[in-house]
Amino acid sequence: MPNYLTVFQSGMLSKAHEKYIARELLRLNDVTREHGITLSKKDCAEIAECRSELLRDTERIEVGAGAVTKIIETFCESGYINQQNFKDTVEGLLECFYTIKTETDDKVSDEDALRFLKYLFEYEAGGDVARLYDSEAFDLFVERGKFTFPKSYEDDE
Amino acid sequence: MNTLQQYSNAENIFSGARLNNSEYTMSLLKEALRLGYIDETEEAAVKAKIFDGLATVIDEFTEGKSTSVSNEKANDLLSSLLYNIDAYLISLQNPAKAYEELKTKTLSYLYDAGGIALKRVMTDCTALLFNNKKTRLPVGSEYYNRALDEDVRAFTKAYNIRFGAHRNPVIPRYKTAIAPRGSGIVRLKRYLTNMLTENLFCRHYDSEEVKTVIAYEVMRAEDMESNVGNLYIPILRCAVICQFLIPGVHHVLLSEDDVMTAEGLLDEYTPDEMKTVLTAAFSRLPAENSEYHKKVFENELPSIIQSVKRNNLRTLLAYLPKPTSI
Repeated sequence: MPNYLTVFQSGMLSKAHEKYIARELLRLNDVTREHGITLSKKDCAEIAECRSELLRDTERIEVGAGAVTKIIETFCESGYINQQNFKDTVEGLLECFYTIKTETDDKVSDEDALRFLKYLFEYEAGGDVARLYDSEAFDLFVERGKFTFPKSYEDDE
Repeated sequence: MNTLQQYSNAENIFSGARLNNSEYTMSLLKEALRLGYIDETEEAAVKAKIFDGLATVIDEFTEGKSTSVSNEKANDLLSSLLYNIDAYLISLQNPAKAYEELKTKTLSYLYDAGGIALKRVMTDCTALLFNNKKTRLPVGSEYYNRALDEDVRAFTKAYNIRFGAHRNPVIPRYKTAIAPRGSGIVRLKRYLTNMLTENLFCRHYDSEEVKTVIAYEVMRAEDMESNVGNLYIPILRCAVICQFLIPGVHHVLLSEDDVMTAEGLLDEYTPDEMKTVLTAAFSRLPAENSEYHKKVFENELPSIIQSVKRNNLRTLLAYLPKPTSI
């Protein structure tokens, strides 16, 4: 089977796409501002570039703002996130999200992956993206593609 | 330039296009650029439209549950999208018109229209399978029978026009004399067409003779510890030699003496002369789709000539051996 992706994913296309993603992220300030957090143009450009690198590293393709938009919308209200750590945390969460999708062979929907990621971030990693992969919960989820949340977490949800 | 002049100009330009049916859309774009019909900006715009179409396909494939897929899956989906678009554009039978459709119609339209074109091909395959079963050889090999009774049906059942149009879910182990090009349902149609051509050729001859030739071909393969290959080729070879020995009479069953006689007569010729006389014998064979048989014959000719020169024509033919005395 020919690799058509290389024909379509020229440097020009992906750079133009990064600019589009950055613009979409800037629009999310309308949502995040309510929680006292905003992203600068520079932050948005860096997150868009990080997204491209992560997609290359995990050998994935995403057409549209997709995951990063959902991550920002989902996590901006987290008690662990503030203006100082927001950009780096978003990038760390995005990396974990793509890893989960790849390791589960895309058998897990975005919604389920995000729900699990939120649990991992809030309850297992204590808001530290470096600890997202440390828990047994992460290994279990990747192996089985599903996870039984503790009742206390489901009650809180 | 008015519309008619523009269209006429496009027709003229595309008349020189070198298009590849296996990658029609991509070759159409490439040729449009090469021939100066479009510039790089327009080429990029069309490619961007196709790439954006991939987003819709990913969304449909994942039922809206995922915004990203692995590169491998994305390439798979893109291949299916292009296969569908190829089917539609090829059906227009006019490269200039095909390019206009590619440029002006939405991706969704092209994808759906391609699906309709492919469904027509699937219908053709159903008809071809029916005709193949109606004309099947009086006796077949394991692979031949399995191809007709199981493999083709398994292919069409597993075939996914939307997300796997380029794939071959099942590849029959029985091979036709000329391998069908391409992939997906188009390849299956070519395979069934080739098989029907071969079946119809064999039906020109007495079924008992054909049965006997095939039986000896099976024995010959077993003696050589190899799988029984295509069943039409041995019939064709025998038909040519029979026609050489007795012009105008249509048989395929040779005796061992016939083979020795043929070898002796042919050995008196130079290879070029042998080619001429055998081609003349071939031209007297009854057959529809003569282009197919001619191509197979031309592929077989060097082996026949070589085996005559090496005095082992019998290794190439299925014939009735002399009875051995006890």
